Parts: sequence; C-alpha cells; structure tokens
Amino acid sequence: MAVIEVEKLTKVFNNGKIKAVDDLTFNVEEGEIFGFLGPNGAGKTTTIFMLTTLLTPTSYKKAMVLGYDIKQQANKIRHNIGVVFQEMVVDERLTAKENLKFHAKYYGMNKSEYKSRIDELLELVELSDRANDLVSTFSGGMKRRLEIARGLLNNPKLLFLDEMTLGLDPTARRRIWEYIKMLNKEGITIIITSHYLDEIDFLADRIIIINRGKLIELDTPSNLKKKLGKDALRIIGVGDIDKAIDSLSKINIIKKITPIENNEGFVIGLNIPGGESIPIIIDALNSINFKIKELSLRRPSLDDVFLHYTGREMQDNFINGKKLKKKRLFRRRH
Amino acid sequence: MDIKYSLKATIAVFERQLLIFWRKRVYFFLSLLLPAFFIFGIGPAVQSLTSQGVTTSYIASGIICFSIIFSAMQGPLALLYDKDIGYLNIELVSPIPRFSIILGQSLAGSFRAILQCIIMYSISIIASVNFSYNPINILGFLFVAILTAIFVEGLFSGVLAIAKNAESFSMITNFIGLPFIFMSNTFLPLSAFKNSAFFWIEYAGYFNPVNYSLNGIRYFLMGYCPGFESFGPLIGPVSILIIGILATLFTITGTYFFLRSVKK
Repeated sequence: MAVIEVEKLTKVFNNGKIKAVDDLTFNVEEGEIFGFLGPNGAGKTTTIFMLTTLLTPTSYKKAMVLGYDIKQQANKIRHNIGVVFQEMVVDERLTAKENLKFHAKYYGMNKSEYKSRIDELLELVELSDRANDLVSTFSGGMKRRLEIARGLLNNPKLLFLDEMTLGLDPTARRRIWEYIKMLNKEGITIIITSHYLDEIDFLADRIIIINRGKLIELDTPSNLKKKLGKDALRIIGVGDIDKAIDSLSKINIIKKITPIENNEGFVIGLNIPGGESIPIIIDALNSINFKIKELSLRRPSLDDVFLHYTGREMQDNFINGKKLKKKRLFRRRH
Repeated sequence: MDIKYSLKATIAVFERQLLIFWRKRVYFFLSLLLPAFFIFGIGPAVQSLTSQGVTTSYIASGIICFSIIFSAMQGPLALLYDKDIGYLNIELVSPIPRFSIILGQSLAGSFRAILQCIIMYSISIIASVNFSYNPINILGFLFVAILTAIFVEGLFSGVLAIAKNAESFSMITNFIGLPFIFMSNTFLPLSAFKNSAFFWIEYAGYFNPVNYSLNGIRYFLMGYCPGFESFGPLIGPVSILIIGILATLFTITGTYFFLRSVKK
C-alpha cells in the first residue's frame, strides 16, 4: 500500500520565475525507507516541505500522504507524521523533557499520555540521564537524538528526516543510522534526504534522484548501480579536456564519459566493461598529452550513479567544483 | 474546530513563553530599573511644572503606560526568535491551530504587563505617589494595562509578519512607536502646545491611541483624565472602550498577517 502518492507535483516561486519542483511523480510504499537524492537546490527540501504541509503546492494532479490530500486535509496529515528538519531545532532554553512536553501538548496529549511516552522515548534515544538538563548543554548528536524522540512523540506512521546527520561526526551519524533502521523495523515508513551518499546507500530501500525539480531516476540502490555497467574508471588529470574527450570517444568499449572540472584539474568518469581496457585508455590520453595524476577502478558506487544522472559529483557543492558546459556532458559512445 | 484542543494548545504556547520568561527573569527585573529611577528621581523634580498640570502621579502613570507599551512592542520578538531558529516550523507541522500560536504569545505578553504594572504600582506607592488604593480601581488599571498590551502586541505581530527580520522590525517599531509615545500626554500634557506654532500637536493627540490608554490608566489611578477634561466625565470609560476595540481589531489583523506570512 502506498503511503505517499504524488502525481505532477509542482511548486514555483517568485511568480513562476523559479520552478523548484517540476511535475514530480512518485509513490512511497508502506514500511520502506525512501531516500531523496539530488544536488543543492534540486528541490528535495521543497518536496519534503510540501508533503509535510509547510508549503502549499502550486499545482498537482494527485498529492496524498497517508491517504489524505496535502492541501485539503493538511491537519489530518499533521496528526500522523513526524518531522526532523535539516536545521537542529530544539529550544535550548528548555530541558530535554520540557521540549518534549510542550510538543506533546501541541498534539493535544494529556499528561497521563505524554508522561510515560516521554520517558519511553528518552530511554530509546539514550537521553534518560540528561532528561532534566538544559538542551544548551547537549552535543550536536544528543540534540539530534532528542529531535528524533520529538518526531516520534505522536506515534507517527510516517517519519520525515531531512538532512538529519548534517554536521555530525561519523560516530554520531552511525548511531542515528541505527535508530533509523530500528524504527523502520518497527513498521514506520521513513523518508530521508541526505547529502551523504553512503548514508542513503546504507539506509534506503529505494532512491529517487531529482535535479532541478525533476525526477531523474527512481529505483533501488543496487539496480541504479547495475545500470551503470560493470566497472567505473575515474581519472584525474590536467590537459586539453576537449581533446581528451574526443580521443576517448573513439574507444568503442567505453560506455559513458562524464567529465567535470574541480580544483585538482579534470575528473573524468568512465564506464568500462573491465580493467583490461585501461592500457588502451592510458595510451589514448598520453597521445594527446593529457597528464594523468590519478587513476582508480572500482565497482560503480552511488557516487557514480549520482555523477551519471546529475552530471555532478556530490562533493562538487563543497569544493568549489565547476560543472562543465552542458554540451560536454553525457557524450555517449554508440 | 475542537475548542477544547485549541484552548489546550494556546495554553501550551503561553506556558512555554512563561517558562522561558521565568528562566530569563533577571532581564525583566533589570528592565524595571530605569522606570523605577524615573519615578523616584524625575517624579519629584517635575513638581515645578505643576502649573502645567504635571504632578508626580501624572509622571508615574505616564511612565507605567510607557513601560507597558515598550515591553509589549518587544513581545513579538519571541515569535521572531522562534521563526529564526526554526521552532515555528516545528509548531506549524504539528496540528496546533495557527491562531493559538499568536494568542498564546499575546497572553504571555499580557501576563508580563500585569506583573510589570503590579511592581510599578508598588514602586509608585513607596515613592509616595498619590495613586488610588481602591482595589476596584487597581483591578480596572490592570484591565486597561492588559488591553493596552494586547493592542500593542497585535499591532506589532502584524508588523513582524511584514518586516520578516529583526533589523526591519526594530526600525519599524521605533518609527511607529516612539512618535506615538512622545506625541502623547505620556510625559507632558499636549495642551502645553496650545498657544504655540505647534498647536496642531494637541489636536493630533486626539487620534493617538496612546492617549486613550493613558486616559484609562489615569482614570483609575488618578480619578481623572488630564488633557481630556473638556470631553466630560465619560471620557475615561469611552477611552477604555476605544482601547478595547483597538485590541480586538489589531489582534485580528495581527493574526491575519501572521497566518498569511506562514502560509507559503
């Protein structure tokens, strides 16, 4: 049974000048962990905001969350979902218990209902011993765990987690992942957005890749990787990129060439049938004086999937990477 | 609409603000130091202006009204804080009725106003200001204080929805608030301008809502409304009615603009 059914969901800002979400269509099945993947500004958070009733969509053919229309029955949705936002939002002037208490009251819960539930949730996120401490004394990981507890207060059937491990250290991230897996096992459908591909790869049952508000691909992580071919070759080098691409295009066995520019020079992603084709590729690049600084061969990862579908590396957003002109991307060898 | 749930949600917002207020109570009591200084220090010094109708009770009631307005002007900042840290989004994804958020904040502002008035009234009595001791008058004075706080909070909640950030909000509150306070009978009677080139200020004062709050407060604490005596003995109750209407009107418009600003 689908818990989210979206058809032609659109959101435009600035009187139509910015199309943040463009005719998006997808379903989320009950009990799955559904990952949203896309570069900055792809429309992930806008979509989450519409599904959580914070933003009103500009248009849609169908947009149902837990069987309720996101515009007409927003309040029914609010009663049945939990949300953890990208920014850490806990009132630091209050204690952990007080934060949860007020949230429970917003849901109309009585003292008898919320008292035991708060104790139970604080136990779950291992914050029982800090229940009466001011949140201002908590670490980032503890605040996130408190937010998870808050998101679960109303026993939601559907939990939205928007970039929830952003800024956490690896240990704290791992711990959050364990909670997510545990909650999912208990039957809660979880929607996650993340910048960390390893996170999505580890957690998500299915992934939707969106870029510029449009659906690019929707499948399981393993199927997405399979679609890329057997091996992924990654070359970092300097030289004339146009000549390099032309030269590589002449090699029949290369399935796809994805070049991007970053502060190290050029990164060329190639999908090849196996390692035996590497000498041919090196020869081709040497012949045009393209200097290879680094070369690596591996099974396609979600990073390669992302590069393949968006023409960007995930870390591009952070290392001043510059996307090459569109015409250079997706040169296919037929 | 579930009235019982709406009420519980409003009380939850109110209770949270109160708890935060209690945690930060030092700032509240520090904010009372300046008006207390005015009542003790400036009040006696203006005895020389008694020919203009200025007495210590006139100054003290003016300072009390000024404090209520100034404090209520800052009230919506709590909403802005919640918006800035993202807490407002947490409230908005919950089923809490949107007007409960505004109403809860206004109630917290009114509570602060009552507390402030009780303390200021006590300070005035200690400073030998000639205020009424009658409990009914004191209750009436607190009622006007609440109406004033609700009116100002409603007005500036609307301003906040338009201003969108703290810088614009401070600029607009000063731009609107200060002229209204200083072009009123708060510290000096506008009738002093009667025979000058600025005689219009006295007439402009009849359209200044601050004067009606002052009238309400002075009606209960002093027994008359300085500057408005020519309107007859009913001006006190009429002023309270005007402030009541303004409080209702601006709470509705403030809530409307707030709701509009959160509905993206």
